Amino acid sequence: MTKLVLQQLNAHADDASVAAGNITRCASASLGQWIEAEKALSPPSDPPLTQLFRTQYRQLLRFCRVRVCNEADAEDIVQSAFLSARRAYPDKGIEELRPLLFTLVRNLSVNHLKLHWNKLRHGEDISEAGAALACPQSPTPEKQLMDSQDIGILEAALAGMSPRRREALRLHRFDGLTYDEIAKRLSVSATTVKSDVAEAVAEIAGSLARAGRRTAGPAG
Amino acid sequence: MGEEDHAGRVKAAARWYAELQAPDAGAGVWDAFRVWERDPRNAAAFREIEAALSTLDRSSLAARPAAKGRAPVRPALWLGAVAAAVVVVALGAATLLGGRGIESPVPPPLVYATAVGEQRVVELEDGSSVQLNTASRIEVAFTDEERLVRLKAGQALFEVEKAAAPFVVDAASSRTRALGTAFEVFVKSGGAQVTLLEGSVSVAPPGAAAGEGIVLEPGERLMVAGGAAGPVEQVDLAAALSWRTGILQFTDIRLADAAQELNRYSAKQIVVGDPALAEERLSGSFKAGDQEMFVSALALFLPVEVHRSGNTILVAPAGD
Repeated sequence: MTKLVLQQLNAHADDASVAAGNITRCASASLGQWIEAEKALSPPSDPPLTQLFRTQYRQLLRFCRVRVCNEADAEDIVQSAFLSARRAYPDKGIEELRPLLFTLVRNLSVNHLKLHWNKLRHGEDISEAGAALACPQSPTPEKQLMDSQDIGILEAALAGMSPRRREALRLHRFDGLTYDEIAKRLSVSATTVKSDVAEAVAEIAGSLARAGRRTAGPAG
Repeated sequence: MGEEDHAGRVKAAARWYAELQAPDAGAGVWDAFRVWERDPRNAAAFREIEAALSTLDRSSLAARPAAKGRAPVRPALWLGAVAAAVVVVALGAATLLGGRGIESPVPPPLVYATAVGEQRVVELEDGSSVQLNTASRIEVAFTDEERLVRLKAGQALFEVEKAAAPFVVDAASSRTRALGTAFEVFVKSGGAQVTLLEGSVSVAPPGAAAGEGIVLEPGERLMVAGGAAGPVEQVDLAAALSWRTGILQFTDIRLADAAQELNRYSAKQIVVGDPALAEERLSGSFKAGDQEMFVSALALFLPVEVHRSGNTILVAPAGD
């Protein structure tokens, strides 16, 4: 997929031979190496999208992964965004394209998650409870003991949390609803939902940190 | 104090998480987040939030079945919801691109800036306020020992709250140190110009000890360039600070200097096409950003003709 994106982006380049040379080199290298090689070799006259792909790919991927936890899905989304940008905005410059790429990545993430949650609601893919997680984890055995302590602390924090805050967190994180949708359901404003979610997350992070200091010291 | 500080950063990190999850989060929010995250203490706080979330994903809250009695959602409705989300998103992006700040739950960034022609008052965490003039940028780096602000570009008026930690402004090759006071710093022509309104400041090269430097009194101005300070001048404070009202007051200055000052506030640039004309002197009050008004006023009392092309307004001697 990555190679395809580069090829399509570079098809736009004035200097086709340079672009082709880069693609050959990248065939056996990882994207990271390719980016490093590109930095040193590519002429500054690359088309804007190719330059942005080089400089902004990691940032866009991180931006996407704040929502979409699956790395492969996130990469697909970012790469689709570049291809859509090439189709939709062939003549725009870097300054205009960068915010558009963020918007595209965000819209594609929203759609992706809607489909994901929609499937779950229709009973597909729920073979076990773990599949319902936004970000399923498979910790190593030695980590599991520590984790079970952490989960205990976290459960206590959840139990002590105001019910509205807890429900806002659940609908946000595990039902995939937007702040507006949660706001309607809980009869509060979307701004209140957003701050409820933030405070709920801060609350559990805070209790984990306090427990960590008490038991394991700063290293824990 | 350290723990309290850290707890504050974790709260801020949680607000960033919530902000980045918003359906309308785009490049603006992301860039503001990255500025905030540049501080390693903030980055550590955000990692803590991510770790807490990954624990949350394995808690009972994740496994709890959805609330009972919810109607099954039909795909057609979902398409509608997605379309609505896209509209909301587009509006959100337009607001951000329009240069407006983000809504209040976002932690304040450490960098504040104004666009050409924009002015803005920023409240700092110690209660001090900064008024930024056109095309200006400050970076705020407060610690327990020192309230440090770097003026990277443009002009800013500081009204400083009294506190134990000194308030320090670094600009070009100058360092201005104050306790409770009001003063202005302007980065221009390779140096920094410091003007004192109230109280007392000392101006020194960066890295100088607290006791060193030239002490200014209210109404005095000092230019520092290339590590050397010029003479202390008396200024008319009302005129010098009239930019805060959006009016530029000129008293017997060269046309070239007036044009340079006016050009700070507008994308349209006034160019004086003739050296003799550039030396003409003028006085008056003009609205910042209104280049056309200035040029038409100019045409009333000087024999000039005006040529416009793109964003350039060329003022040349009339006739020939």
